[in-house]
Amino acid sequence: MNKFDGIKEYQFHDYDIKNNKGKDLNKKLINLNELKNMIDFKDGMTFSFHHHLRNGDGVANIMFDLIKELNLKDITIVASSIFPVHANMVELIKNKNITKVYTAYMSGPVADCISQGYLKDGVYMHSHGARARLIMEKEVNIDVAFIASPCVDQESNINGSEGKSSCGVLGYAYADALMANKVVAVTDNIVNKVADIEIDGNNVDYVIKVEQIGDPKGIVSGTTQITKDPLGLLIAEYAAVVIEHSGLLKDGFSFQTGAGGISLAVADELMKIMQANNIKGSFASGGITGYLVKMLEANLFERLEDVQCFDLEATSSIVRNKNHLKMSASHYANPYDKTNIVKDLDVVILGATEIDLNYNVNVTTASNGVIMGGSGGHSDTAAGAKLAIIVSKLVSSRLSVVKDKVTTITTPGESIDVLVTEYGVAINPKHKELIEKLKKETNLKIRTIEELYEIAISLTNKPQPIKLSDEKVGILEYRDGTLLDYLYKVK
Amino acid sequence: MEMPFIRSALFIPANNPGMVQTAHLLGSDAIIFDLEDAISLSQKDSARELLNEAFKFFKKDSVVRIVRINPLDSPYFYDDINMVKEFDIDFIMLAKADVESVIALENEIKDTNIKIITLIESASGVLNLKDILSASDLVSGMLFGAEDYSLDMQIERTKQSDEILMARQSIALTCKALNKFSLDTPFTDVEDFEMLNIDTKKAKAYGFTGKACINPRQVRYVNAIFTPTQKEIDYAREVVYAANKAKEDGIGVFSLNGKMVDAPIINRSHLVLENAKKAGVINE
Repeated sequence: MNKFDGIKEYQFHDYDIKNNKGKDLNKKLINLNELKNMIDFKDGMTFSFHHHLRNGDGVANIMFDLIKELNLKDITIVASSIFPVHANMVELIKNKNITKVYTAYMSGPVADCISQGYLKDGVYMHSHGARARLIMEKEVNIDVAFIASPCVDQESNINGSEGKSSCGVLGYAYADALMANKVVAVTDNIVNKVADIEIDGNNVDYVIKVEQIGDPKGIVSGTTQITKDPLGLLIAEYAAVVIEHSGLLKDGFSFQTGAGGISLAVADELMKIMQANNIKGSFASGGITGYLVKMLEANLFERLEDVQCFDLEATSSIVRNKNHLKMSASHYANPYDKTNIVKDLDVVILGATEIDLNYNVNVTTASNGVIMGGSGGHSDTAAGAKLAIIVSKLVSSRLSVVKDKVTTITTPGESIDVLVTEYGVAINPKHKELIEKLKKETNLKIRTIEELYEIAISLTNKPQPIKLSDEKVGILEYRDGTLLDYLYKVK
Repeated sequence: MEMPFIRSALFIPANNPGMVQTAHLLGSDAIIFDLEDAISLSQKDSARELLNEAFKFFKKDSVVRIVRINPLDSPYFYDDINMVKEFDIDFIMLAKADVESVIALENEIKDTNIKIITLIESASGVLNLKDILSASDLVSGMLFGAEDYSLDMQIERTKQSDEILMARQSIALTCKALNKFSLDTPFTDVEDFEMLNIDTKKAKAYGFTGKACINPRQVRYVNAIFTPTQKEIDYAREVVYAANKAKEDGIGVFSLNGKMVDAPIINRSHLVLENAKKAGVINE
């Protein structure tokens, strides 16, 4: 017997060996009613959506209306983030139409509803990178992905940076488009040809044209603003000094910061230092703001790696600047994606709702246990960056940010390196050299995190612990899928 | 009298608990807790009470503490003093200071360790600088208030500040002559840091020892200008080194880089190094 026996001989065939769905828009353009016939919607399915339209999103609500109309039960939602605009989910959760949710972030009525224990099978909270992992590794199978699409062309290619509902980039939706069984693009803008293809038409099953996919006012803010709070500015100044003396700020430097007022102020301080010392960085990444655009345009970075645009400057830059690159969530932060860029970060600036004496950070729940956020890229970038810096006021609204134990662990303390507050800087004791270097080279008040905790408690007194119920409403998964913590029903 | 090291003195309204509590973190060398202009008439009592509570709580640190009280011709002067003199503070700043009010204040606080900073904000104040500064041994320094001064003079206030040149130079000169410290008027456009820099450089050039700030974001700019530069430090080090050597060699006046060096230059060099040390830019 020949070892090659059994292999079928080649014959001409016209089916697409790559399982392409074809590109012709005319064959895919349908209305919502037709969609109900094209897809065999049934109980127990998994639907996904992305959050690039942020609190202006209109597409997830179309999906929720569909679930309600068809009275589908036991639906799982895989959302990159959930905002107050998605309040229609609440009724569906209470009626057991939606019984399970995966998300990296949520705030508003849905978060409140889940904290109150209404979601039957619970919420799985993870990071942005973990979401890409879950989908790409088929740990979660999406039956139908509803992709809000600011621009679709005649070959059903999609991009996020053209049209009245432009959001700049669709980085969180790429995995959904690649892996979902059915991909439904919902758009308010059809053109002949998109300027650049973010999601290839081959991955799109159906295109639905609607009047408006979202409210532009909620999609991107006009300009993200640096804080004017003097204490916030002070914290930013201290953080910049830490970076300057970390040994990392040199040619090739890579950096990420969020859109919060203090984080932006750090970028502003850093810009001055880089200009004064003629330092050219390699890349800045993440959700991109006008401040990072300004740094790119000042030639302080070679490129921006953009998974999500935060403001109008960013959406405008991504169209005109060839060094402002779009990236997928997987390329951004999927720990199983060998090209992920968070592992190449030198410094990331992050916030914290709570940080404990072991440097564990909570950005998921308020101190009363109610869900009001989530990791987003927090635990991804903290794990990847050489220096993960938390910037926060030590005392805010009469509460200490430093706790003896955080309410919920979003990011494990082993990946947090520095806490910068208005009362001084605490450095994870594992960085002995950095502690000595900063003590020697700077005027920063270097304290232990225990000392900062004592200062805070001397100002606020120790608050009574808030009792949560024993009933679990969700879990927090780390980037690799391991269990970090539970979310509990609030009383 | 040893001069306090005040490059920047930041005004903080005494009726704002958040600002009062965190004022010492903002990087200014001195804080002026204000009971006067920043406080509306209906809040004078509550501001005083808040400050009273805050001073029970404050720990002494390196920041110079000043409380600006209401002037003698107001109904709040004695109430302010009676409470403020119990505080652990360094100075009382006397609004609309003249000889009479300085003496009135001195009588009230002579049994404490608190000293006086006079606030000059009128034409007659500028005309009587020497008398006001000499009215009490407790007077250690002076702040110029250009906004009220301009009103009194009925002149337009400009960012270039040519209209207050004479007053500024008179204050800096008189303070220097009487060995008092002098604080320049605050720059009131809190968004214009370029002009703040120019204005502060002028103040330094006139001989002021520091400048008041009305916004925390001004502090770093003012501190930077009143901190000795590396060039000044290097020269001061050279002078002190050469002076020590000359002393060892029994020489009185000597030359450095072709220029004569005598006692005033040596004294100034010591002051530069001392200030640089206080500012944290040198260690030794």
